[in-house]
Amino acid sequence: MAKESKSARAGDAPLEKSYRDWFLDYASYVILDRAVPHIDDGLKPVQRRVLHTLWEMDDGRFHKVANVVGATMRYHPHGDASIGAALVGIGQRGWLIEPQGNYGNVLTGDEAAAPRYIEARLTPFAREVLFNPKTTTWQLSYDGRAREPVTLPAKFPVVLLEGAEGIAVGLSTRILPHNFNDLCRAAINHLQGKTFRIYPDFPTGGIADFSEYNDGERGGKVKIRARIEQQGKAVLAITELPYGATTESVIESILAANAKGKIKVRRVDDNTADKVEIIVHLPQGSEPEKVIQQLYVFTGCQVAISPSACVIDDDKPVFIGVREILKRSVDKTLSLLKRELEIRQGELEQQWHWDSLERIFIEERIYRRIEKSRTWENVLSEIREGLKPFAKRLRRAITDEDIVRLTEIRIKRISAYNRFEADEKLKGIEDAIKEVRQSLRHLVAHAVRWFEMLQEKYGKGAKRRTTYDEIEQISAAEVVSANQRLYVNREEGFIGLNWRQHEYVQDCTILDSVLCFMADGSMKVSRVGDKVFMGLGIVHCAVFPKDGDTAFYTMIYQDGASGKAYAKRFQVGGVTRDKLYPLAKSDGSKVVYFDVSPTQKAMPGKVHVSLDGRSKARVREFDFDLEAVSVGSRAAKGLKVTKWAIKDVKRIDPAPGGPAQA
Amino acid sequence: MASGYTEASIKTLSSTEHIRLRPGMYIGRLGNGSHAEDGIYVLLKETIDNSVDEFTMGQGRKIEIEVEERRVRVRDYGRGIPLGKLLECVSVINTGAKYDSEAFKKAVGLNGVGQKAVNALSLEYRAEAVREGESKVVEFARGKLRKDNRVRKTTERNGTIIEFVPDEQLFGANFRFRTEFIEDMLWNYAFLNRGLTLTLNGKPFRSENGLKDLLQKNLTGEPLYPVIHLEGDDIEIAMTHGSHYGEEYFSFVNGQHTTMGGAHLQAFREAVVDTLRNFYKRDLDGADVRQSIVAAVSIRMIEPVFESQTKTKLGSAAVGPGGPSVKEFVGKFVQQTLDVYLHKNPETADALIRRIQESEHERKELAGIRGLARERAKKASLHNRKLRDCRLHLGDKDERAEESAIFVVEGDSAAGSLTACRDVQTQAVFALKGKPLNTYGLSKKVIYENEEFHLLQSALNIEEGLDGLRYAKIVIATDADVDGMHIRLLLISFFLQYFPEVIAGGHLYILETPLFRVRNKKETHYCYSEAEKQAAVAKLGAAAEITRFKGLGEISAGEFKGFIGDDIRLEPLSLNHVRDTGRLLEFYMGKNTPDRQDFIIENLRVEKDVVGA
Repeated sequence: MAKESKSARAGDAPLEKSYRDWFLDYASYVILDRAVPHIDDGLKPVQRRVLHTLWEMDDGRFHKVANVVGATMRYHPHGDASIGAALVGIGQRGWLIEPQGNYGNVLTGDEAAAPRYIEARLTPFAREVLFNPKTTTWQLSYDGRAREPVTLPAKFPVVLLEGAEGIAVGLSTRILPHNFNDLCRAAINHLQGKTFRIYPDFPTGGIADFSEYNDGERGGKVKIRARIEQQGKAVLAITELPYGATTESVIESILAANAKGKIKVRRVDDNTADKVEIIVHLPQGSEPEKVIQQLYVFTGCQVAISPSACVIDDDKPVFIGVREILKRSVDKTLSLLKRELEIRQGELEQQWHWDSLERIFIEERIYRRIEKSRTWENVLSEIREGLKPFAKRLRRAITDEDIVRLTEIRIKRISAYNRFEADEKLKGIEDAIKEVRQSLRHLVAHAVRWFEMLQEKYGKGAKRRTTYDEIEQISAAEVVSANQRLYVNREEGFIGLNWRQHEYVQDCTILDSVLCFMADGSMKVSRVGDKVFMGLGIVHCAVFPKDGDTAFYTMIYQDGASGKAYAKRFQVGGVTRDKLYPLAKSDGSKVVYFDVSPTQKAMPGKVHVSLDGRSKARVREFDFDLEAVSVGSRAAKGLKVTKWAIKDVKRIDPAPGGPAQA
Repeated sequence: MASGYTEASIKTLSSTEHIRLRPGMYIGRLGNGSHAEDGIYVLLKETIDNSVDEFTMGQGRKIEIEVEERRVRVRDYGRGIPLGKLLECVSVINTGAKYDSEAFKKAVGLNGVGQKAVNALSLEYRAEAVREGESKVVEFARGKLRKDNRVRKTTERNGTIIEFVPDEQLFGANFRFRTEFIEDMLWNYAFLNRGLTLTLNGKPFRSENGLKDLLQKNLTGEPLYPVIHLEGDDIEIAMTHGSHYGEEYFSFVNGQHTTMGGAHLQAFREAVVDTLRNFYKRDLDGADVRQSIVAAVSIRMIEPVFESQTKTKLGSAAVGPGGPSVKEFVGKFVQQTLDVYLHKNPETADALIRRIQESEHERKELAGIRGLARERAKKASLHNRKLRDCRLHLGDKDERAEESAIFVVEGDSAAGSLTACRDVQTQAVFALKGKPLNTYGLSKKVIYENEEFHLLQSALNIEEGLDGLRYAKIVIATDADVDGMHIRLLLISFFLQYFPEVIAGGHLYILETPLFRVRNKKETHYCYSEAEKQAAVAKLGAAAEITRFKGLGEISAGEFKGFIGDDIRLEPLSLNHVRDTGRLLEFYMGKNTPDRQDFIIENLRVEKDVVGA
């Protein structure tokens, strides 16, 4: 690693080693064992442990969640709250865990009941696609007392169905949920070598723009909108939410926007039952079309989500797109199906062998040969001898184990042996073997059937909820109304919206910024608000133009430290909001003259200066030529006017269009 | 009971017996080598000191040190101890050549005890002197003479070779030398004795520029201006400013590293402030001037007096009998030379005043929230609700005061058992709730805004600097799991950012707690590593019950006593060799960067225990 040498980690200091060690321990753990789902089963460890525990407990009945949480702790040595939350999360989606009791409401954001009230069990879907101890790789649990699956042998791209979100150290993951039927179709397409596309589908519905989805990889972006219908002249209804929002969060955001004056609504009602319905009453005379636009821009009715798919594959986090995830997952399903078939074939062949052997043993009355045997060895050799002539009827050699097993057959079985039944059974096994072999030969077709079966069985009612549409960018400045009035309280240094009792400045929008100059020569730009403190003694106050201030300023100030007066001419340039810029040379300065001109030409050229009557200056009245001061940056200290205190400054050259002076 | 006190109870010990009976009087603490001030390092130091004295006399520019497990060998190329007196020199107390020589007045060793103590406290001790083609060897075991070999011919170069193995009867079965500490020691010798080369198992330690090199080596960030290096008779100073919080000093008296400072350091700190006030002609605040300073001060004086036994704090008022006071001596030197230096180097002077003004600015900004802070402090001084304090504190007049420690623990569940089993004289407990805030990139204001940090600061009493520190050891006691590792990172980053002097001063430790308990019906073993666990399982057989400790809360109070008692395992944290703490913190505690992500993924640690189905 060439990079290694120049970063902080290269050092050999003990402290750096400790940092490195602890950091890597922690980061590795959080990535591999906490926050990022595994591509095989789409689960984070806590979810996997919950499901594995449910499977261990599974007897068809519901189990109290508190019990499940306790049992899960054998594998997951962490807080019970995190386990319960993981279980409820899976239960809310409903694909893998069947909930019983109040699991909360994803639409309204209501919380689930406590684990001691609610119950859970695996869904038939979970039983079918997630578990198979024969194809599971096991590992020891943290205390070595039990074994748990490394991953579940999932035969479905669960990670895309459920979606995932996790913040690890150094990386994070965000995979959006997808539609079940879409995934089945895409899986079949992939198996058949066709190209496919998949887009997320959110349980909350909504309208989404996937044009920048970037296949779910880092750098992508999805815009999602609530569905808003116009129900009357002045009534809007929000019927579907953007992903991740709840009715409560959306209503909050509407009220907040209303309070800030970004939109105007009369009342908001939450009529949500099994479906979302937020009723927004508008004031008389508003334009519903425009308000809908404003809702999208200023409230939680539109969200942008940045997907960033990251999964664990082969003990490493990988950043791959959702299509790649689907491909790898379906390929994995294919190999699992193959292994299951192979295991099944082995079992069937074993069964066939045994049944045939038993049939020979009984029908050919080989058991009678052992009646005279005195020793165990003799028993075994008699049976071996007796079977020899029939060995060719079998498909593999007879082992010692087979013979021992034959000795364990009960007399009852021999006496009640039904040849016809035995034949039927063998035939059944033979058919089954044939079928398995057929499937193994046409593995892809078998896998396609698998996904078709799943779709048939579980896909009903799993319709897409999110529709896609292009969402154009609405600029906030375009839809915002200039419905605010800016006021200033110069003495106390506040600006604010809509206070009648103070000095009115101008109309503005809620998004505007305001530029103020204070009496001590400082300057500040801030966003407008109900009441914003700018600085004591505001000399000049104006809305700061959105595309930069082009005005020319003239300022004469009495420097706080030296007492001398300086004149400066400047433009404001780039500013950071809410930062106080001192324009005078030192603290405690005082502005004695201030002018704003739209153009350089309009700037005052000459001023008449009157000094303080108490000063010891010999000449107390004189003219000062401002043209001698070059127009510079706002940080320049300016040109000295006099060392005495100034009483008054008057512009003497004619101002075009009237002076704007303080 | 006076009856038992008869003539028979009065004993006269031979000197070596006395050393073995009261080692503390000669080498300070015993310890097991986990602390830089532990006895085994003193033994090494005493030995090297003699060799360095030879160098000071202009004899032998090289000292070879070899440390192999517990065996230490020191070879110098000085004049060699006169063969006829070798035996006495290493075994009879108050024998030596350094008593009347003027040149040795400001020498390092000078106690006339050094080698005798090393000898007495060693399991094996061997001294060889080579002089003009002849050599003599004497060998001892636990201070008793084993072999007094005859003088024989040799072709070796002149010098003395000392070999010893510290006695485990005294230092405990677990003691071991830590290379870091020895390297530090050798670097200090190198910096203080320019031109001398020391080698440790072949690795050379050598310095051309003395204290300037020392500072450069110990800087934990870019200095704001080139190191100022000033030298005079019996005094050498190097200083610069960095961008960290706090002050960092390295002070030496006659080559002894005075880690706790003392009169000379105090004098230096005051002198710098006075000098800069005069130079800039402004009334600068002392705290602003010293904020972010990194400096090294070394003086040589006659008969220094130390406040503590381990010679870590200088107590002398005067530089030798009849000499000026330490304060005057250092102060005068700094005022003259530093002032001249700044006049000659205006860029440095500019950089320095800018730094001071920044500190001033920040201090004033902090003052803005001090109101809140004062209110909190008042509450904390009434009762610090996160702290269960101990009775003795650093600086108290009690011999155990230097043992006082504060355990910063994770979660109330751990605090409970620790509180119940601690030694209330010297062990305090501070309980964190969950993970502390990541302070990276935040200004010092956060200490006042975050209640937990503020309570920790007031428990430690370091708001005004390290002088008020109430505990000799700050022990981070987290669970041994990954979240515990994370909390360690967060806490160390906190100290690194705002109180690096706590770490530089060697006050910060990590408590190691066992990862496993292996027990059967008769025996219980606590294991600190996988290897120890394997060993314990092998010993107790397969039926042993193994518990993996996930949190300190699982350890009951009775068990805990063993982990924080005499056998406590503390891992000290040091800033040694840390080049740039800013970058270290940014990389590990800062924002996600692609660089960091690659680093993590490339170094991912996988832990899996796959079993066959």
